[in-house]
Amino acid sequence: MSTTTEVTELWLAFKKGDKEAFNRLASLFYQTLYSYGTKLTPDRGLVEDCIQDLFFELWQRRTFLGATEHVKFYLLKALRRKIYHEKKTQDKWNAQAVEAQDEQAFVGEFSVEKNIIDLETSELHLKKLHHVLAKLSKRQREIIYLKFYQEMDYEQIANVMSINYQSVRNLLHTALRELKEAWVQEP
Amino acid sequence: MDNTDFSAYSAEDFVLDDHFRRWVNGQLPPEDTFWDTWLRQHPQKAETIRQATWMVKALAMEEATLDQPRMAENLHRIAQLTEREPGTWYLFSPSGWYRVAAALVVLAGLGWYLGRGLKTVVPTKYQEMVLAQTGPTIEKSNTSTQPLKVALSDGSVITLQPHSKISYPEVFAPDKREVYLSGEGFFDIAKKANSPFLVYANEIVTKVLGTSFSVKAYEHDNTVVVKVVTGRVSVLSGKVKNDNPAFSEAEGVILTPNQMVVYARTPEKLTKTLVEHPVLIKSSHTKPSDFNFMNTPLPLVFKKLEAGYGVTIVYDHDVLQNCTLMAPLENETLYEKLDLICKVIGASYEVVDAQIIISSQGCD
Repeated sequence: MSTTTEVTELWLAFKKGDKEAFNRLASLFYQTLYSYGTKLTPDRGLVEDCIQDLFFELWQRRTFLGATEHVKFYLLKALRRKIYHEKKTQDKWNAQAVEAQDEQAFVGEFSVEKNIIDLETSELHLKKLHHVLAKLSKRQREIIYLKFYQEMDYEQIANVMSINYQSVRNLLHTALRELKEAWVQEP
Repeated sequence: MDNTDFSAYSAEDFVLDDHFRRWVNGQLPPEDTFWDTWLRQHPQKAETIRQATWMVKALAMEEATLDQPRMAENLHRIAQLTEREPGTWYLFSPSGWYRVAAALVVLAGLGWYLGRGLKTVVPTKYQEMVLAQTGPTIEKSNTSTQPLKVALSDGSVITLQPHSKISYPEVFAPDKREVYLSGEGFFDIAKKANSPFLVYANEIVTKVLGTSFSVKAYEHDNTVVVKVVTGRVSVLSGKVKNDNPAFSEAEGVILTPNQMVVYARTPEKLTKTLVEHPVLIKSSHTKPSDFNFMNTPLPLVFKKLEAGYGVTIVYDHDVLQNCTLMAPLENETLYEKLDLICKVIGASYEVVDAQIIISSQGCD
């Protein structure tokens, strides 16, 4: 990934109508957006559609967009809103149970076995870990994802998820404390 | 980073440190040996570090990655969006959930401004139509070099490109909303029952039925082209009369997604066909992977294509019912898919009046 300054410069060039800069931004952030999007819905086709729409809107509205130093944050937030909106529209037709408005379904899963195996984790230990991870709420998972994978700060996470700063902190700290206990209790 | 006193850090603190996690995940450049060095200097923290490392690994998540060709294809599609400008794609309205965004672009009547060496302003359809209006009207003209946003009283927003102008009544009639355009505009139309939105441009009237489409009508071109992206559009050509503007849908040529109409001005002729690059229709919720056919009967294959691209495929059901298809057609365009299918079953196809006609001897 390019440095923040490079991205900011690309953003400014794109706002002036530079197609090259626009395409470069798209290729820089595509995988990041796809990664996040696929954690918000299992429908990967929908994610691809939403990313395309997102870039189309950016291009159409480029002259009205503000200058931002937080391009990634801006894009991820816009994608989240878009996917949520699309899912809501679909749910209307599907007559399925509609997700509570404030909690977007986060479908990202932990991949425990693959990563822990080299740490000589015992059977019992692994079970405990699964138990802790399974207990984490969708919100906690999303916070963990945004913090660890997108390296966002608390304020940005709060903004993206439309919850308050203190909740982000508390939810994350609770999750980490419980996880830590799973380790401490190892015989 | 070097000024931070890590010796007071708990396992959680380490886990929350971006740089520490990158070290655990092996994402630091080889020359960055900060943590290795630090750990050697602080052996008493080894247990805490071990714990933090374990926690970071425990929180690893499944990552979905898109395969390279697919991603390249998607990026290509995004790059094309800028070439298609002024937009022929669906524009989501950022606010107002009941505003079905109707995005359209009308390029028309370039003759009115002093381009192409013209020294005098030539009267055009635009001026004739504007003059024929009754009642007070508003005209917005974009003489700047930036797009100009024009908000209408019904909540619609028009983005006018430079050298373009639009004229509309101060108060819309209760049963129709009419605007006259010269140049190029991007329309975000508020949906309103029983009050169609009509755009007049050169010889073409386009009736918005809650949809998105584009119109290209250069004054100096011999053709006027209307392409549909979503929803339905009704286009009326030829003698555009002011006394009968709210033409019924049936009077015009109706277009659905991936269809376009080409209007030749001399001699006057209207041809309906498919767009050059049909795309999957969003509302069909068809995924490219739906086109991975495994011994699928041909009639079913055609059904999927019809649904995905909103096209009509005409074929003899009896002749083709014994044909099956085994082909992964995830990445091909509609025409490439048709080429391949026809090759496999020894058939041929042609596009007539926006329909795809398959000719085949069948399979035994």
